[in-house]
Amino acid sequence: MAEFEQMLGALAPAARKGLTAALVALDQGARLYPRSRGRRFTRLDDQDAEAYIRALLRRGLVAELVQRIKGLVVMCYYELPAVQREIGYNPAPYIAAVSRRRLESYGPQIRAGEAAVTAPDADAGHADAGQR
Amino acid sequence: MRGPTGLTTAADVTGDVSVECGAVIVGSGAGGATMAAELAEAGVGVIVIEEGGYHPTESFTAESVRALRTLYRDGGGGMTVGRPSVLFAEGRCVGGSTVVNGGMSWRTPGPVLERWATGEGVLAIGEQDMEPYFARAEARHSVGRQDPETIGRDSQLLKAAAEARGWTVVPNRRNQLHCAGTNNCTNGCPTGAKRSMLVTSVPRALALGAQLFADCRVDRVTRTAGKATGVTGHFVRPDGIKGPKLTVRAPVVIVAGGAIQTPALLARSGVRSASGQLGRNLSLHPNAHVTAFFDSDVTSWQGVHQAFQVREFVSEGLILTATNLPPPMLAGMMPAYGRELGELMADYNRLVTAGPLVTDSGTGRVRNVPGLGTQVFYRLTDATAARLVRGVELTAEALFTAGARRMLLPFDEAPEVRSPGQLRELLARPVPRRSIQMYSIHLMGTARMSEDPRRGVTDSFGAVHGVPGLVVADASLFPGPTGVNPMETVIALAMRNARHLIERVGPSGGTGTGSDQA
Repeated sequence: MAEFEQMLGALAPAARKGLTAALVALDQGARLYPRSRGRRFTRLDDQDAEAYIRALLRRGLVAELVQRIKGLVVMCYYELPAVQREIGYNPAPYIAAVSRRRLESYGPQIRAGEAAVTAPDADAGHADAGQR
Repeated sequence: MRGPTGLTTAADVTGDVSVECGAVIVGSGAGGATMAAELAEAGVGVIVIEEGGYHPTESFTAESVRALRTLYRDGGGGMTVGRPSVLFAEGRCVGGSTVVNGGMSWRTPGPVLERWATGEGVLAIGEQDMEPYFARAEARHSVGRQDPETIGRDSQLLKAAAEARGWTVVPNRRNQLHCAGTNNCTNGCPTGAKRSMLVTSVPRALALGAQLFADCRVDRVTRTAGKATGVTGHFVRPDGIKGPKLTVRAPVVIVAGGAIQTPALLARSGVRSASGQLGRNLSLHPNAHVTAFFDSDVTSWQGVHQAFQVREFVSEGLILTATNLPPPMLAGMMPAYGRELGELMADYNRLVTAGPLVTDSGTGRVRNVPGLGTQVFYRLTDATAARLVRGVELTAEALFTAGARRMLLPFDEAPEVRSPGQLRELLARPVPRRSIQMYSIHLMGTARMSEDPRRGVTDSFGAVHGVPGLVVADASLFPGPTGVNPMETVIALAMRNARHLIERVGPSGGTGTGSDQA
């Protein structure tokens, strides 16, 4: 939830206001959906919630708003480490391993390339000498 | 976070700041940082102003949502107005979009340069004219092929399939110094191997005496008697609240905020182009992606981003490539909800995302809308839509050849396809234009060059027609889409235009910088 609030805060002001209003409308609008029996979206069970969203997706501009909200919500959900582990995504150890391999394999060339950045008329080390 | 010498962030500033220099540059991306390094090397006193924050290499992680919040404008959630709308992203941090792009570095194709020369009368833009600048850009940013051990299985699958079909495939050229293949390009390179402006031209400019103000938004370009005289802006506190004011006086103002922010800044500064082209002519190189599921693990997140490009269909305006997306971004774009989305994402390690990059026509426009701020309007033409659908079909065919069992296409409500026959059957019917899901990171053309002030916003070297001292240095300058990743074109043009500027005004425009903090 905190992640979602921060993400909402990062959006352009107009988009943030629009999506905040759309979130309220999506939640309260569920009361008008026949299968909800007067309940708001956050009170629906999974099946009714999905049916409600699918009904909204058939409505042109409303569908675009729903897609945008869904995009933000699921982005934040799939950022959670526990969720990522569940789908087999665990990049930190991989990044650490290949970063080590890079330094072990190419340390001198990397240091030379980095030093060239501030050298006069820098000609930074090429990653593919002979392959260009 | 302590930064390099010459860097000032909002946290360092307690009162209004007023400074003077030879050239002030708005934006620290490919164009702005390159200009800064070139001018500083020539002895010009340079101040660079960057709206985003300073985030060093050590701060980059695989947390995508955090990266979207901190390194991208508006959380990476730009949307064009129009149906279908196009999701677009702009970098907003020291180093600009080069910090979060895939690092593809390609020279502007000869025929494109030829069109710019003949169509818009842009001077000194032939392949031979540009050669020394491309060569310098490639040297400075270590452009070259990927080391083979870093290439991931998704790229290998697409390459093998394309070759099996007899298509031309080329290794991608990237600005990288022995890239480790972390597949973290869009979150910021955690090793510094990607030679973004953050680790090349920005530190180079600072080492040569330039100053950099980060967390600072430029509100206006100031002018006196029609001539550019500097900029005014304000620092932005971490909570988004306006901080102290910044005033910079300079005889040369270089705007390099990218193809959305540059025309927006010029327009709100009262700059009018006789050509009527300021903010118009926007091209996006729209992308769409196919999500293909395989029987066994592909683990596409292990290995470099886009190791190859399928170049067989360049003459049709199409480049195909495998582009792994981290789970948050993929889930956000996947056309599925609830339980169905969960089931699809459970196969994350067995999927490949790939798709076309499409050369479009400049039907977009950037406008400042009262109450809504800067808005981007884009109309997908029938021709571009047809090209996108063709690119999706070719990508999907290749992925079936690679062994994919089923695929999701980037069209609203399109059913999952499970065979090439089903794909052909589906695409034999017209795909509604408004159903196409697209995104873009290549934004170009909104302050285009032309020697003719009736056709272009700037002259052949980025100087704004009719406003002495005002220069543009980003992809806004492009008279049309490049058809390839645009970063190297931006850098080479900035090197070329910096040299022209130095020859024209010399370092006497101001060799030093001075400042007062209230």
